[in-house]
Amino acid sequence: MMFCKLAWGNVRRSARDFALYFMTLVFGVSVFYAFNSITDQQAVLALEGQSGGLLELLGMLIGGVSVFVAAILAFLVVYADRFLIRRRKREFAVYLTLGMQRGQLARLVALETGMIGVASLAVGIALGVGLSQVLMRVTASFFGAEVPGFAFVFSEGALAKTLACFLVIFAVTIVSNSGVVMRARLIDLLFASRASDEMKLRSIPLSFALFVVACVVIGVSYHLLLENGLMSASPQFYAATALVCAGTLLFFYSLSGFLLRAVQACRPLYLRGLAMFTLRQLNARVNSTFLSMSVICMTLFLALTSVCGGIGICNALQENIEATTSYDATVTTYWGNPVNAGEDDGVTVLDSPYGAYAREVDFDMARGLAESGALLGQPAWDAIVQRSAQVDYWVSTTLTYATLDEHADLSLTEQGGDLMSPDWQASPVPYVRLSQYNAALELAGREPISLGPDECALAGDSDITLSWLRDVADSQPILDVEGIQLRVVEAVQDACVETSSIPLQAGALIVPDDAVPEGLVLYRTILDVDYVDGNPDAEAQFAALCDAVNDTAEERTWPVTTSLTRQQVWDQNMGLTAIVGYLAVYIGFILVVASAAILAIQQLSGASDNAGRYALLAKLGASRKQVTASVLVQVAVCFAFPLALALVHTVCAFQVVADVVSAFGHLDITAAAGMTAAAFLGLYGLYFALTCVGSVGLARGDR
Amino acid sequence: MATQCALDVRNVTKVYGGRGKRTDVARTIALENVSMQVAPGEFVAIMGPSGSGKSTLLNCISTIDVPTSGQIVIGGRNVERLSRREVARFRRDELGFVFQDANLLDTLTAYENIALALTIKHVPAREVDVRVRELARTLGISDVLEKYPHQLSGGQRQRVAAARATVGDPTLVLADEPTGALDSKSAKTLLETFSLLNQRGSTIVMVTHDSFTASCTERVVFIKDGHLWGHLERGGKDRKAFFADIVSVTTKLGGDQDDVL
Repeated sequence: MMFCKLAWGNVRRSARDFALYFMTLVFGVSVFYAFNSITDQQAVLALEGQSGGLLELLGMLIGGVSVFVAAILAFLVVYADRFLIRRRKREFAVYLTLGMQRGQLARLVALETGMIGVASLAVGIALGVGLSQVLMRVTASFFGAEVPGFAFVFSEGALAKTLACFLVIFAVTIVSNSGVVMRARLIDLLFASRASDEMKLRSIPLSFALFVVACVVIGVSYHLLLENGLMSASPQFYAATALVCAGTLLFFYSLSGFLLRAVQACRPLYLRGLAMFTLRQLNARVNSTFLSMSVICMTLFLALTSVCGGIGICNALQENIEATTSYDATVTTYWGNPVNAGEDDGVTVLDSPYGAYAREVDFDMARGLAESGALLGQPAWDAIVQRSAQVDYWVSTTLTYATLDEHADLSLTEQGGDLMSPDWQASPVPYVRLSQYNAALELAGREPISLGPDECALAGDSDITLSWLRDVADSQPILDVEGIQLRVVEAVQDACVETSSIPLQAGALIVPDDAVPEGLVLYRTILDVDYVDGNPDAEAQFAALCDAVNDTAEERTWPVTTSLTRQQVWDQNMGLTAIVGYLAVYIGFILVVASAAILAIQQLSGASDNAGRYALLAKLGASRKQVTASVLVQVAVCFAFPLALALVHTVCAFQVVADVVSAFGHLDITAAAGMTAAAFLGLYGLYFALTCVGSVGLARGDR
Repeated sequence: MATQCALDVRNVTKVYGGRGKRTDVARTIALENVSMQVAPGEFVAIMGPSGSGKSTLLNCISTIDVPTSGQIVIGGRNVERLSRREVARFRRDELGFVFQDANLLDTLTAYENIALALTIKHVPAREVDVRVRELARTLGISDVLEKYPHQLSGGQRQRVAAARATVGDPTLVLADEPTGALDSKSAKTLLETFSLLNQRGSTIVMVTHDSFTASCTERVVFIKDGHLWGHLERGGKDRKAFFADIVSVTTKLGGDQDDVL
């Protein structure tokens, strides 16, 4: 009982020391709970089919990531607690000299840890339950589900998981603390502050040289990364990774020495106010903190790239989805690979019985599908589909991508073409008949295009090739289309004339109808459909029809390769967006909080270790303003430099990440980066502000 | 003399606890009605046994503590009336400190420790350099300027601290048991340093309980139980004679209450 009172008193008395720790714990617990509760939201949202599956996948992924997150949080808690213990060595010494047993002391510390743990768990879970309500609404909007009125979701699974995880973390902390307390010798505790005065001092010119080396190493790694990209796990990529780590480490190892040397070179600046004290102080501290600063820099870098990348992919998917879902559904048939279509050994769908059937219905896909549906006992085609438009892609015998590439100022390879298949140059350019293309445009409610008899137009919707196509069209080259010379018009058609998850049309040539001669080989046929307005079940019926036709072994049916409805694309995209976005935010948040908390704790411990020095400065007559400024500069350097270097790393990494994301569509880095930077800088800034307030308070000695 | 005093302590009383009620048991009178003057250029020691109030007096003079009543005037200014901001400026411009354990900043070199006293006053960098080097030459610490405190001996550290205290030409240099942590040889060197600084014009007030240390000064003020007990002037005597005088007084001082100093 007496112990409880003492422990409670200690916690209350050092509320300011514990505040930051407590806040971090509450953040950790609430976010941990909220994200782990996502799977249980399914019950409320009553998601079915694909969306339900995606949500389950999200739950599994979060479960996996949570292990990683728990490890980070455990490290953070143990580290933070060590710091709090260290600050109280003198207090412990008093307890020991008063005759308290070591075991009792360990119990006291355990009790305090327990109190804070229980309190933070309670507050954190309460906050987490609130947060999960917000998350549920976000999830609902992602998956297009309705939140039924006032729904309150409380996830017992997530609660159990959170409790178990954090209880283990606290148990580990208590064991670790007890170890520290049990091993501590009274003499060390009594003279704890004196021991911290020892410091390693390094040669300053050496630091200066090392700093230059660090910058060069980082520069080389950037160069390697930018040259080789991210797509292949090449030796260069590993070298870049290793170099950037080494460079970062060296950067922080030599940073303070460099700053010191640089300012020393300017005497009037160095011999001004507390400048030299501040710099020396930084130098003395960074010697012991460079490792954590490097780790924090890389952690921030990881957080920024994962979140920016995640949000970027989400944005790209979101932006695409309007453009790629102009039709209620699209059915696609691939007849064969255009590269070997002309070769003898290329056995294609055309040669199969299904191909024979397609020929029989004169490649009229709507008719073929309608007949196939009827044969398989599906509802009548006309009852489902109001209008449709067919687009055929023919294999050119005279034009390949290589031909187009000759007319571009910048080759496709130089414009991010490493995402193309390796044999892209040999691929023939597909032809599309103008009337079919216009029919598809009109079905989507777009204006048809017109071409002169000797004109053709390039069409494509993939972000990877669009700028290249524009480049080609810019010179308005004359192309040989099966013996007819056609001039490419300057305008490139970038509409997506089908419903698909990702725009994948790398480039096609729209030609006047009579420019496609008899005897050309079909490469791909698509059918865009719009449902009958009055049929609420059209979506389900159409999907069932396509599945039936796709699955059947019946030979007299149309060969369906894929079919996608608008609803399926939306569900897929939203689900993917949710998964990527959630994971990125979850990991990013935990990483930022953890690194900011470690920085904050380090700075606060530094300020408390240096309280004596600040007291001396006050005795020498340094004004409060001078001391405050000195403390703020020190805190700012420790917060700003890891962040700054992390930002530079991120900017560099994004040069290559953008290539990867462009596969999903257009990556709007600025918007994504802006959002992320704002949110995380806010969080980081909060820790910075709290650290400033705490450090200034410690330095002024008003506690 | 009264108008030109470097330090003028007028009827200073310091009471701890008890919120001023005379009947309160918790009340401790640390100083009662103490008055003393130090003229510019003087080298004065304040002596007294532990608990005599000499540290309280020094704290009041150095603006670390505020007297309950009475006035302390340094360089013509009433220190107990200074606002918190003025106090920092006052310490910076008018006072120099030498502590028992040097109290140098261990992250700074000796040079920087001395220079710091000037840079916080915004003395121009060029002047800082000239003044630090000139003083270091005088005090014989030129060759240790680039060293860190942990590389210096105790005596060197105290001489650097003395340089730091005087480089800004303060009205008053306050030294609190400066020889307390030194061996006798280093103590002697440090006292010579103080004499040198005194000859250069520094006004020094030194608190000590060591008779030998006190014998290096011109005048010794004795304090006991919070009261001014008396003072002793060297008056042209040589150091040994003055030392003997001081010893006899301290013996008497301690003898009053049957315990040995």
